[in-house]
Amino acid sequence: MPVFSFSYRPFEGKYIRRFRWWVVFLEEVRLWNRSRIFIVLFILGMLQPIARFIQIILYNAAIQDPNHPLAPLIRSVTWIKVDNELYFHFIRLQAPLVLLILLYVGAGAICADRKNRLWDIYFSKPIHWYDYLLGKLLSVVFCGFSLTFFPALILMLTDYTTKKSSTWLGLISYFPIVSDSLFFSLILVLPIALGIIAASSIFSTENITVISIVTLIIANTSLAGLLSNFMRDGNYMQVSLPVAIYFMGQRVFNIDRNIFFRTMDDINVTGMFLYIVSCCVLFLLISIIQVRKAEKG
Amino acid sequence: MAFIKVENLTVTYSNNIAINDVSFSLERGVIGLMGPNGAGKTTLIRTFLGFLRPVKGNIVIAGYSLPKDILKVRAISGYIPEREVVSPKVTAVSFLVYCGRLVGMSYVDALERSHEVLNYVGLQEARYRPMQTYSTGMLQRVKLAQAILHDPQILILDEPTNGLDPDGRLEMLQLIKEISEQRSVTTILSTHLLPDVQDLCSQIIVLNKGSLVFCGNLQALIDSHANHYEITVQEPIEPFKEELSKIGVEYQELPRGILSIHLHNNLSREEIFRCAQRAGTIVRSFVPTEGSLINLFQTTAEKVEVN
Repeated sequence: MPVFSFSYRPFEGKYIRRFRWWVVFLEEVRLWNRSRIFIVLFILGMLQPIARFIQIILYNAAIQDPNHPLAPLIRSVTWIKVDNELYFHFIRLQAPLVLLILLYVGAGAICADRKNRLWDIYFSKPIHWYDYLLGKLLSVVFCGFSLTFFPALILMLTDYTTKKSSTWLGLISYFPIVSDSLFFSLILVLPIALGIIAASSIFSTENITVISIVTLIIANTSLAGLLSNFMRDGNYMQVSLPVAIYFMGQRVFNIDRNIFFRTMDDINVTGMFLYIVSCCVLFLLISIIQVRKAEKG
Repeated sequence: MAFIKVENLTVTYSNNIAINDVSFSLERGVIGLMGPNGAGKTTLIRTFLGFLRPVKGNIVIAGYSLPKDILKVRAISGYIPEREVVSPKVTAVSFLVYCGRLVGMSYVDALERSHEVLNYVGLQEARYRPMQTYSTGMLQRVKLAQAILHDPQILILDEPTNGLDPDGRLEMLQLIKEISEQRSVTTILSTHLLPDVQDLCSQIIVLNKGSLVFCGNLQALIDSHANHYEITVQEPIEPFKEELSKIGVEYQELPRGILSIHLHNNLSREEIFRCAQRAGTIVRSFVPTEGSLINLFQTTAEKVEVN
């Protein structure tokens, strides 16, 4: 007795063998886009861009029109000024939410697949470990960028379009801010994304991944704080990854403000940059080893 | 030319040898991969799919050499893993579309194929439900659907009837039979359920403790055990065993005083009775061994263990 009377056709379509990471990337984005928690977190993450958007429109309106009713008020408030510092503070203030949202989208990216034994299915398809890892990593980075760099770009576009004296050539003046924002966003998002992906590839559940990342950040910063207290030298705060990221952002945007260190004289910028890069490389290596093992044994 | 050719394959997990110097070649068809737990069945399958790297030996599947052409082998293979696989919050359709896209299908093709194969495996109504609500049988069907989604040339099934109720098991076997017969898909069926192999397979590989016990035509294995008998004689049994040895009959002692013997072509059954007469004993029963795979499997496995 046949179980089912109908059948399926032989597949005669074409296969697209390249850019398999794109499929993994799209699937990840599709999965977290359907989650209500993600949508709520993302809306929270969009509050600051909206506030900055209003700030830019108000500022440009007031600064270009001396008869504007809000002009005296806006001119008197220094922090409302629209310059490169605005983009630094915008990205800096997004950092806690970026961490929170990236933890939500990235913590289960790899460990859920392993826990649900989906690796056996995925790697029986013609994909490489690097397609899989790249897709996962890029989706998390994309999510981070959609809260930092992409809104910053929109804010710059808003600033450009609301200026009455805007010309096409005037766009060129935004290039330094675009590259600064890109660099700061990258230096903020990439270590977090890589750290989360690495933890997700090691640990068995999302919860353990989140706990380990939060513990790592707290432990790292506490260690730096303890070290600077014991040694009576605030410059040991360089050991903290969040401080290093913050300071690199300051440097990129040419903002000279000292809130962590004893003096700015013996701060090693190159060393801090290399520290961030080496953390990224370490996280990447851990992820590669774990995922490669799943595909190649 | 053999569809699957394995030469001197050795696979190890750290220092433990999981497959030890195994060589065989197989034609297209339904191939049963048998052996007790820990025999190396899953290791062999995972090596075929490139999840494990052999320390020694060559594997050629459909003309593709492993591990060099592993992506090509994966592209023509469909795999059902042994363990339960579930993407909890995803519907079966979405899961299959993703699998299809991983194989290289366009979104439209993958969506169309997903609906077709889900209908085919009998998940028409349930395909839009999250997979966490599926029963074990339904999850097995999803696994089968993702394996046949891209119309593979070779289907690798690792214990596909595990955890299924009797009806579910029969339906799954029926589906596998239909796919392999109607679509001419070469199927490797790894199982320790011997009736499944007997129903479906034309060729068989028997592994035990990482070594190859038998590889070849299933019917040939059954035929090779045609002249086997089980005999019970009155105590004492020792003189009878001596008489059997004198005429060159190999025997094996089974529980409850039963002797399993294999008669050569030039020996008649009457000769056994004459042996009993010479030993001064009485034959209580003399029955041909059932040609079921269970008996053959046990005998072959025991032989290897003795060696």
